[in-house]
Amino acid sequence: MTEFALETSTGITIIILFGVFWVAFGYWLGRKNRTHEDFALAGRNVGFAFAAATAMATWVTSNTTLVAPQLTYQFGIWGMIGYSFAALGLILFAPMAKRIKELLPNGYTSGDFVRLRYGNLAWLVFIIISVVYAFGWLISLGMAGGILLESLSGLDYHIGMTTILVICVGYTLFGGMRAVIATDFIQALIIIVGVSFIAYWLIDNVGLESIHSNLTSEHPKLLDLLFPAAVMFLFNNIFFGLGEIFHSNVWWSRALSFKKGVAYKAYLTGGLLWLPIPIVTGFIALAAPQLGIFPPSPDMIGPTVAAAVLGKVGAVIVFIVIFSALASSLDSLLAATSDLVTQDIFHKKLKPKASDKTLMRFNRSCILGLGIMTWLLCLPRIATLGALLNFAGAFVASTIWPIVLGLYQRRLTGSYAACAMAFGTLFGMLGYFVIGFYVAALVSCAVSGLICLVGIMRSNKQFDWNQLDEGEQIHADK
Amino acid sequence: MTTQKSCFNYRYILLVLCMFFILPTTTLASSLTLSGPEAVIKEGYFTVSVRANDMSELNRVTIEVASDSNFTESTRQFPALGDFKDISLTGFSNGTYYLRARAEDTDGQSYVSNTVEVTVKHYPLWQALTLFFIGLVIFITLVATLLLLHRQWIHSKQHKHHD
Repeated sequence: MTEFALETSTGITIIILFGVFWVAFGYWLGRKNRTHEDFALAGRNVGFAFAAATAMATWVTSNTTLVAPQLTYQFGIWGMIGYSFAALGLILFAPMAKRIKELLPNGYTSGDFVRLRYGNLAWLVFIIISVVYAFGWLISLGMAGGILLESLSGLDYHIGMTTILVICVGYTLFGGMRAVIATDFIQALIIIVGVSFIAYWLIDNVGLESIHSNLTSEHPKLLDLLFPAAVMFLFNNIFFGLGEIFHSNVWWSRALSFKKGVAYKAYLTGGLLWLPIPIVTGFIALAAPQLGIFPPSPDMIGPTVAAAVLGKVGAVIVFIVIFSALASSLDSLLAATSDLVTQDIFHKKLKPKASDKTLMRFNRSCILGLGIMTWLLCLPRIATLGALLNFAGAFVASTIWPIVLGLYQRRLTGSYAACAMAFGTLFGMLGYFVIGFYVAALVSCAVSGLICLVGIMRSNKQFDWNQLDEGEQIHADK
Repeated sequence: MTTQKSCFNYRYILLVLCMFFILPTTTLASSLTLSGPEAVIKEGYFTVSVRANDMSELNRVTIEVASDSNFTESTRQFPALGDFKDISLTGFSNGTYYLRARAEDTDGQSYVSNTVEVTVKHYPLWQALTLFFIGLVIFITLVATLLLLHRQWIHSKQHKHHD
């Protein structure tokens, strides 16, 4: 029988203890929410420490803790280094966050911006991309929860996945953005301390030299800097990261919820704090061949190796770190996606005169509905995490140019922005299926960029920035 | 004619009976199968699966990889993780590889599966480097555009402030 690093009962106990703590904490924080703005944007009053922590913790996700080791196991050194370049997304979003806060002082979502800047057609394409991405990420997070518990404690994938979803939906439902940011702060501290500890323990116990000599003799391709698929993957991953951050309401809602003057510093600090984390988590996978660990699915490599090297105490630490990473992203995504649906679809399109109370109630129902849909989609384990996430890359990378140009450049019109996103996505998907997941985002960004360039060259219109300020439109309950 | 047909039937029945008695001892050996990718592998990593009639009887599953079908040259062994019967292998250079599974039953008897042939042929380097440089150019253009536009905005803001 399999010797798992943790007893199944230990895994369940940790999950329940953390779950009860997070949900109770969320409930306690949620008592301070008086208006929908409190619930969705934490009163637009988040300070620097919390802001930097939430940026970093949200970006440390199943991608960083499970997919970075997976890609290192598959692509070697480039997988590890290439993955860490996703920090550029946070770093480059820093100036944009400042601009967003300035342009949309009363804005709620990234969808708000696209609708006001480019019109309804581009908004529709953008919403489809956002929803596909949000579900791709939500599913990958739910799956990661199940995979984590299965690899470390042998607990059935479906039970683990369900438990993690119930906990995250629970505290987001009670506390809204305030709970998300506060739990992210604690989770960021756990992640930084835990990852530093794992890195120290691995280098001290396994040693770089023995890993290097094993890879040189048995798996030389993993050390090859001219590994073709890995070379293709490098910029693809950068564009995927940029697309994820530039378009997603997870990051826009944070920029809008931070105090004035905080967003730029917070995203820059968050990005720099995040940069070394994939290097550490990826390095874990390079030790696998030497330890004789060959997992059934490459996305299980990170926790399996860490638990094998670090023993039971280490396995508990790995478990807590990855669980924190998953929770910090899952809650953010649930909150941001439900904000997007509530604000952009329900409030702007269906019920423009909805009261504050109605919006809050609808937002909570959305969180619950998203949780249930994610659970249903996670039931069949459809792909590896890496492949699933990179499919979304074809979608999100097409938004990079329309978002950057839309924020600063007056000449790009809505029809060209819509075409850039639609055709970028289509060609990205073509690249995904014809070549591989490691080119989808690159192709998507290239096509979208070309269409935007043509759009700017052919247009002679000048967008009026004042059209972006809709003012406060929510009707308070009487 | 009739006699000959009757003899054949007896022999046939005897053969089936023999098979019936032999079958329980060879279940694992005859049913241990390895399946792998059929297409050419372009990334150097792939997953293989071991299957048997009674999966619970399989212990110590190991995949053997060699560069010749007789498994005489540079044979490497990759143990499966715990009870899992799928194994992800990685870091293969260009070439043809022969893989087979080796497993033990509950009595410690060792069995070997069929042999699977896997061909690894990485993308040509020129193709990878072309995509790399396209990515590099787009990235530099994007960063330069963003920083330039942001700087222009800051300058115009300061200018308005002074006015």
